[in-house]
Parts: sequence; structure tokens; C-alpha cells
Amino acid sequence: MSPAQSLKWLESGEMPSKFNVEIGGSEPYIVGGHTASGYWIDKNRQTTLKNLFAAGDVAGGCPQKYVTGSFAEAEIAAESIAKEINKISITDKVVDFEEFEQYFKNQSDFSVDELEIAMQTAMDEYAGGLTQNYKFSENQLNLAKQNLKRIEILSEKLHANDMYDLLKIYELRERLTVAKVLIEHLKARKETRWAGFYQNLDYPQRDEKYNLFVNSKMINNEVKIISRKIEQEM
Amino acid sequence: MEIKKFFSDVLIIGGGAAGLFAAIRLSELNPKINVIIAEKADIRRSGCLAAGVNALNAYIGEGHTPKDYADYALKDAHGIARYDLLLSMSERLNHVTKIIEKLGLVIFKDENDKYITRGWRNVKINGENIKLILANAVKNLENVKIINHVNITNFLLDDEKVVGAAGFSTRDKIYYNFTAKATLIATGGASGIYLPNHSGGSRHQIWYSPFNTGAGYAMGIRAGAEMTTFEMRFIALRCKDTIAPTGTLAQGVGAEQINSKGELFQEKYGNTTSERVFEI
Repeated sequence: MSPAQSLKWLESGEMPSKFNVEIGGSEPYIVGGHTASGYWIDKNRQTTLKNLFAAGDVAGGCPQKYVTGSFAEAEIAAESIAKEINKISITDKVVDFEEFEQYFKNQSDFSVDELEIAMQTAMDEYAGGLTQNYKFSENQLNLAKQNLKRIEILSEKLHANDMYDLLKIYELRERLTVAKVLIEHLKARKETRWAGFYQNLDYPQRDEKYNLFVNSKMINNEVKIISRKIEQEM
Repeated sequence: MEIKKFFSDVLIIGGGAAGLFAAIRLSELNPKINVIIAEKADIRRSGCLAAGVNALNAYIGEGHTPKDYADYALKDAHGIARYDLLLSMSERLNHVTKIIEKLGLVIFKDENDKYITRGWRNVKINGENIKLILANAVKNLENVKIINHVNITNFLLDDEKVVGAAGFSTRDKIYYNFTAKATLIATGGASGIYLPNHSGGSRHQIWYSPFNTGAGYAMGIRAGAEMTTFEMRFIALRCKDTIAPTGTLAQGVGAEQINSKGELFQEKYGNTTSERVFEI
């Protein structure tokens, strides 16, 4: 048993032989090792971007993979890469590191932690978090979107003193990007499926029309939703 | 500020379970392929397996087939999953289990030398050191270079082609530019998007690794990659307060899962992963 749980039993004296163990849900995560979230890939584990492959938690469409499933996907991706590698030539490209430098020059009235909690609170209250019993409506999702937009603008101005600060700023910005896409996906599935994971108060029933994949692409900083049939890749 | 430039055949972003296993397979297929693994922390203890794992939850037990596993996963996802991907993954589950055992993972066996299973798709292991085992296996590969403590932020793009990635050191003022023929994104999922169970100093006591922040998704999204099924969120069913696993109690010691009225809710209301969260 986990150390924390064993300690709790000992501390409280409420041993599991006499007392029921209370259970409950965590906050929601996006994780392709358990659900189907992630990159849209082909059978070779290549993404829609050329020469980019995906395996493990970031690879979509393949839930319940856990540790061994991640290994399996890694093998398939490695075999695809090994087959392709001699056909690809290297393209020398150097990025402009000004994007990083800017955060050392910025001035901000806010800390990363403050903006992180603001993002988490907006997602919790308006995009079906723990305190809402995971339920959401379209009106709420629009509020989440508005809140996130404001936080995103503020996050561009965050200030870093050192590399750890820079890391924390990027981690926040990564989460904001994921949250932005998540909200559009939550809006696009106008039904309720996987009650618990996904409960849309405007559409409380499962709708067979939504036996499809909700996919998306970011184009000019806007999330564009793409529907794909379930059968076409089988 | 210092800029470091690297060239390789393959760039692997993320030295977790998938990233390290891919490096091992690539070396086996062709030891001339040179590989760089860029890892945000240290491959010995990083990603969601950093602290270890006590079971392999995807395994095909006796009397079952890969198709059974794919069917189970598709049903659990209420029909929203790619059967082609599920099947090709399932076909390799037992094969990769053998490989990790050969690398040194302790898998518990009965007196007949057979794996001890919990249900038909789960084997018990002593997996506290699973990342160390993988890290040691990779460290011995001559064609693989490991760069720890580098946070990748962006893909390098040439039209719609990915030609590498860039990032920065999490410790020193060093910026990294990796150019590669092929890139494998093998980072973790995203935690910390929602307000967690605990607040204040305990706010990182969560089910999933708090260091998995969705970097791999975010860089793909910004580069215009197509993403799927983000709306299928994962919510873990846990022991209250401690976020300890419930499966260990339910499967390990046979504890029943009941609601406040004493009903066995899984039997009454459904037993997919999402339904179990809904029922409580």
C-alpha cells in the first residue's frame, strides 16, 4: 500500500479492517497513456507533421497503453524511423533565441504562481473541474476561454530572474496552450460520453452522431476543429 | 548566454518510458544511427515512472489474445479510439514485457515460473527501479547521447517538416539548438491544468507527475500538428486525501467498492474507467 495511505491509517487509528476507505476523484488530466488524447498519428506512429513521430503519453487514439503500451509504441516508432532515416537529409536551421531573452527583460506585476492558480481556478470553475463535479456548460466554457485569454496576455509579460524562473514560465505557457485546445474540444462534442470524464450539461445524453473523433489544428493562433470518422483508419 | 548546437540522425524529446525504449530499439536496428535524448530532468528519475510502478497494467494473460485487449480498450473508451493503433500496440505487449524483464525488471512469478497476474491483463512487479533499469540500458549504447536538464520548447520547422527542436538548460544560461533528420516526441501528458485536490504547500500531491506539463502537446499545437480527443479527460479514482491507488485495494486485497448506501456501484451502474468516477 502507498506510504501516505498506511500513515493515514496509523495516524487516525481508523484501520481498514474496521473502517471503510473513502474514495474520490482527482482533478482532470490530459494523458494519452490512459485516454485517447494526443497527436493524430498513422499506423507507423508518424504525426501529421513530416519527420515527426510520437509515442507514449503524447500519442493519441490509443488509450489504456500504460507502461508496456508506451514501450510497444516506442518500438513501432523506432522501426518506422529506422526505415525512413536514410531517405531524409539534414536541414540546418537555428532558431532566434530572442523569445527566451525577452523574459529576462520583461517587467511584470504578477508571479508565475499567481497566474497558474488563476488558470487552474478558471478551468476548475468554468471547464468542469473538481468543485463542479466535472460538469460544464457551453456558457461556462466561453467564460473559461475569456479568462484564459487574459491570463495568456499577462503570461507574455512575466519576468524571469534565472533559468528556473524561465522554466516555470514555459510550463505555465504550455499548460495554457493545452487548456485552450481542451476548451474547444469540450465545446465541440455536443453530447455526454464517458460521464465522469466528460459531462456536458447542455447535452446530457449520448448521441450516436458523435461516434467520431474530435480533432483540431491551431491555425493563426485559433483552434480549428476537424471531425474524423471512426472507421476510416481501421 | 551560450548557444550549443547539436546535429543527429534522431532527436528524442523526453527520456521517459517511451523515449528510452525507442533509443534501445533504434540501436538494435542500426547502431550507426546516432541518437540524442533531450530530457528535462534526469533520465534516471523522470516522467511518471520516476518513483517506480508496482504493476504492468497492459499484458495479455493466458487464454487471451491481443484482440481481447484492443476490444477491452475500445469498449472502455466508449467507442472513441483507433482500433488499428490499439491492435498493433496489443500485439507487442508481451514481447516488450520480456525485454524489460531481460533488462533487469523483477516480475513476480509463481512456483511454476509463471508471472503472477491480477486479472488477465496485469502482472505484479517490483518496479521501484524501472527508470534506473532503462537509464542503465541506454547509458551503455555508444550511438546514444543523453542530455539531461534541457527543456525543449519549440520544434524547428522547415515548411511543414520538423527538422529538430530548440530549448534551454534548466540550470545554466545555455540555449540549445538540435537539428535532426527525424524527431520523436515522447514527453508526458499534462497535469496542473485544473485546480488540484489539495491547496497551498500540498498542491503538488496529485495523481500524475506534476512535472509533466504538456510541453509535447503544446509544441505540436503551435507547430500546427493535428491533435485528437483532448475532450476525453482522465480523472483518477483515488483514496481520499492521500491520492493513493484504489486498484491496490480493490484487486490486491479484494476490497469491494461501494457507495454511501452500501451498493456495489460498479455492478449496478457500469464498470468502465469513466463510469467508476461518475458513480462516486
